[in-house]
Amino acid sequence: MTTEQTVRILLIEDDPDYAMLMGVYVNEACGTQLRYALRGAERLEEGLRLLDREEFDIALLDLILPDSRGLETLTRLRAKAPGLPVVVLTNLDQEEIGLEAIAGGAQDFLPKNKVDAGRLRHSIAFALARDRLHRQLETLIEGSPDGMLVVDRERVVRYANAAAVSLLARPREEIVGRPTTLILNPERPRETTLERRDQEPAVVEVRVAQIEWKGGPAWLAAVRDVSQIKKLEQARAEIRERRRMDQLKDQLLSTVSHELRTPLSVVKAIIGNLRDKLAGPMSPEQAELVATADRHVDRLTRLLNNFLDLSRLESRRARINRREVDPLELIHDVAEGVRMVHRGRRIEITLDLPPSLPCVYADSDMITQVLGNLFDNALRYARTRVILRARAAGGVVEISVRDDGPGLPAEGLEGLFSKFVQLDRPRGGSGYKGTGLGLAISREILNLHGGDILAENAPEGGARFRFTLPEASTSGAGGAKEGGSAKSGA
Amino acid sequence: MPRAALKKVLIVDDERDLAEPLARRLVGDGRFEVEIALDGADGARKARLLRPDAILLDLAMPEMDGWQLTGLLRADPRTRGATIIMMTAWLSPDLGRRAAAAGVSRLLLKPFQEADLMDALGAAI
Repeated sequence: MTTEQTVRILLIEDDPDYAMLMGVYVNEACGTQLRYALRGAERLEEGLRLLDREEFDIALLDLILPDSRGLETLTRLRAKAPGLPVVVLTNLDQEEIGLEAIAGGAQDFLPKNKVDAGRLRHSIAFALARDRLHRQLETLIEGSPDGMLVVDRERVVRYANAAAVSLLARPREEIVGRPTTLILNPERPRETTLERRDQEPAVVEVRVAQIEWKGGPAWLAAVRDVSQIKKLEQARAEIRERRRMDQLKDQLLSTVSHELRTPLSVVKAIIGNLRDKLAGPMSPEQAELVATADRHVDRLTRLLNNFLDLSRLESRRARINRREVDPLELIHDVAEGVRMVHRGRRIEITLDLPPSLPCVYADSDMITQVLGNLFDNALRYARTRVILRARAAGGVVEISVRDDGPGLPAEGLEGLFSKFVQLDRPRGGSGYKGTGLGLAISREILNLHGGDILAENAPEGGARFRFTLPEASTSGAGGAKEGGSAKSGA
Repeated sequence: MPRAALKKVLIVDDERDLAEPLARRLVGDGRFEVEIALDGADGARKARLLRPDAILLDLAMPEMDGWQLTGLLRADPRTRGATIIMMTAWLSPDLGRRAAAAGVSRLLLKPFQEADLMDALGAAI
């Protein structure tokens, strides 16, 4: 205590002579920095009334008063002012009662006949320090976010802190003094679910230590609410499981795709042998049957491609995997693949690209699929060449794929992007494998990316498909911007 | 056409039912002499012995797949000069780049049109 401070004392003492004597001692005890102010009451009721009106730092309490006797006096005072430190004044030969008073919550006791200024100062300082320490411990335990329970060997709860009361969702009186149903195992932490009145059950982790409580063996149970953590874990597990299922589905799709294409290839090759009379001569009727079979193998192939493309889109939609992607790199990659497949078609694939383009925030597998679809489409109708152009404009990267074929019929352009619609256009190369779904899937993919696609006839002739992807900086790299629509600026 | 003018083609595919009609088709064309291998290791061995002008191989094969076989063929001076045409059921995003880097000249997506196959072989020889 560095500055001057006054300790406000409430003396409850029915003997006026002794009260006066205490007043003398208190005055004597005052120092330069620490002062004492004394208020007296002769009866307990009077003392309790004073507590209503004034604030006190400590009470000096005679246990034997006209209106209350023995430890009952202390109990009543503490009930009125639970936080007020009490020093009990005892008569000669009443050390036993003094000790009992301490067990009952008093900070100290003073034998009346041995009081002097020094002892009084000492006892008050001791009581205040002891009270402060007690409060600190109580703050720690009561303020703990974990529930703390003291349970005796009869499984009766002897103490419950605020967090325990809130976790158990019952009034403290219904917890303390009653048996608990918690399973207490000092060997290892245990997780259990607390069923609660009017509240959702809580998942708690219970850790138990063996302690001594008021002279007997007991358990200290720390009860931690792990409901939130459990929910998070559960959500994470669900996400992991969903990802696993999606991966399985992708694997299954690629296996099914391979497994189905192989027999189709076999059938197609065998039909080719028959048609080319490599397995002997055929009648015109047989040749016609074989030609029909050939057409239907192609049809089966188209249906299979439809199915696989749609399934792939569905499984990818759930876990679109976007990163910053350099559109130029992607375009070169896809064009290379397309050239490798269509090298024999004598159709030139031209890339008309600026030296650099801003990055887009995209799932490169999905955009590869879009580019592949547009190339497939263009190659189907092109006479001599397919031209891919790309440019950056107004926060988007615009990519167009044009062919030099017959162009699109003016009516029904919008239907081009609906599922299962293929415009009645003359075919480019012979027997091209078209899926009929490529454009619909491309549009869905681009919409997922906040981009768009449109079909038009190019001024220089042929059909042109233009699509946009927002630049990485405008679509917020790292942010999950879903489903926004950036219209192409045409 | 004298027999010496026939171009040699090696088909490597674990699916005998596909390899055989393809071979019959090529033989029927009259320009090719064809050998079949049913796995990658056999394909590498026959390629060294036969020194084919073109090798038509399947990407997905057990034990040694098309990539590994292509690597072997490219590493061996006896087979380095052969044109490699790769058959695959699935066009993955980086397949084109990977195939070009490995020295594959053409990809055929299963099931392919025979015209594409003949065109690829025609271009090779």
